Amino acid sequence: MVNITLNQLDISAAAEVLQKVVIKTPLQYHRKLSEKLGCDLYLKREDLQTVRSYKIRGAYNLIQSLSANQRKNGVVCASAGNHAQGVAFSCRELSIQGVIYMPAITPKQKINQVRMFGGENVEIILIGDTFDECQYHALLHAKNHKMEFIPPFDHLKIIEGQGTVAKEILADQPDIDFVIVPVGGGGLCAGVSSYLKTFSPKTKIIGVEPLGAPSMTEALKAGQPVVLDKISKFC
Amino acid sequence: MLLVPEGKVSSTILQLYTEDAIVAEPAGALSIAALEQMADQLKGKTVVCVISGGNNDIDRMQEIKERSLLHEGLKHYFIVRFAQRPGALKEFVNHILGPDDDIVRFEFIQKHNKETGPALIGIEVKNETDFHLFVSRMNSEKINYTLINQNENLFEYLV
Repeated sequence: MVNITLNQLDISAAAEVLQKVVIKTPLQYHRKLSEKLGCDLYLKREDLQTVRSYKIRGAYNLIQSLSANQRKNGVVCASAGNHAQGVAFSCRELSIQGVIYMPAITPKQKINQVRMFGGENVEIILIGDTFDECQYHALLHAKNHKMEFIPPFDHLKIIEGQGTVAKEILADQPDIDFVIVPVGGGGLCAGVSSYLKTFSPKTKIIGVEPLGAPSMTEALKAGQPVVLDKISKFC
Repeated sequence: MLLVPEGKVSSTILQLYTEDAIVAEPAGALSIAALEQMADQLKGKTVVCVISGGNNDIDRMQEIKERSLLHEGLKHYFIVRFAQRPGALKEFVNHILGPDDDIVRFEFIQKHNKETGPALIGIEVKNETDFHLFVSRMNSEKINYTLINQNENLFEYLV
């Protein structure tokens, strides 16, 4: 787990860095749900983002921050999905070599997407029955080849990048009572919360997890990260 | 923090797709799926839902639809032990099944004694009331049945 304080995060600087590669996604008013709930509801459309998720923000922000020497050695990540696409896209954009570990059971569609975004810059290695096993090999690869490991959420630069979502939201709609975000690893939630705490203190952040994988809910209850016995992989 | 059942997430994905032409992945639909839960707090407020991503594999649509129907109470699986005499199945179809109820799965479970042993039946209904009527007809006709939607182990094993 990373320990960070708010003032270490420079989300505005990350936004500047990301300007070139990230789409400023629309914040759309949703009339039907607004009427149904008696509120003003907006959707932040990160499904329309480059690589079709916000994950590009953190991955690019971290990878571009590497030193010339680190860039020369290349990067490694482990992911079955969106993070892998973000890393692959960033590698190509920055002309860095990347090795992407994906679990052996990863659907073909996801592998093809990573290949498409990474092109010649990316090597894909399919290994491990579970994500943890896959990540173990990725970490080992990074260590053995002196390459930089790009974690999916637990890194200052990743959180900074994801936080730029909140900066865009606030620029489009300065008066917000609630922002509702999905929580997986917590990178998006951490970045968005940090930004809004500083620039829109009245906004409440609601994190949402699937019932079958309540890692953050349980961690907050326990006061520290916990290991869940059983999770649903649906989300 | 809020928790949302996977079935509700599935219904939201389908709703976003059909009503708004938004392709959301399961995590991407989570924020919208949570709205109903916190409806009381939202009145008169300005609310932003982040749709985090749209990488949804079309191959998963069948699973998503199934989870949605189960969550909405529109699809039900159960085991029926038919009386071991000719015509038992025909009576079931004629007397128990309602006009809008649809059998979507039918399978005798035992490898041997097929056609006398218990059968796995899946039905789709138009609304929850239809299902309650269906169950009460099974009760009044003294059908020997077990509902398995709520029985996690049986459900995973049989369905």
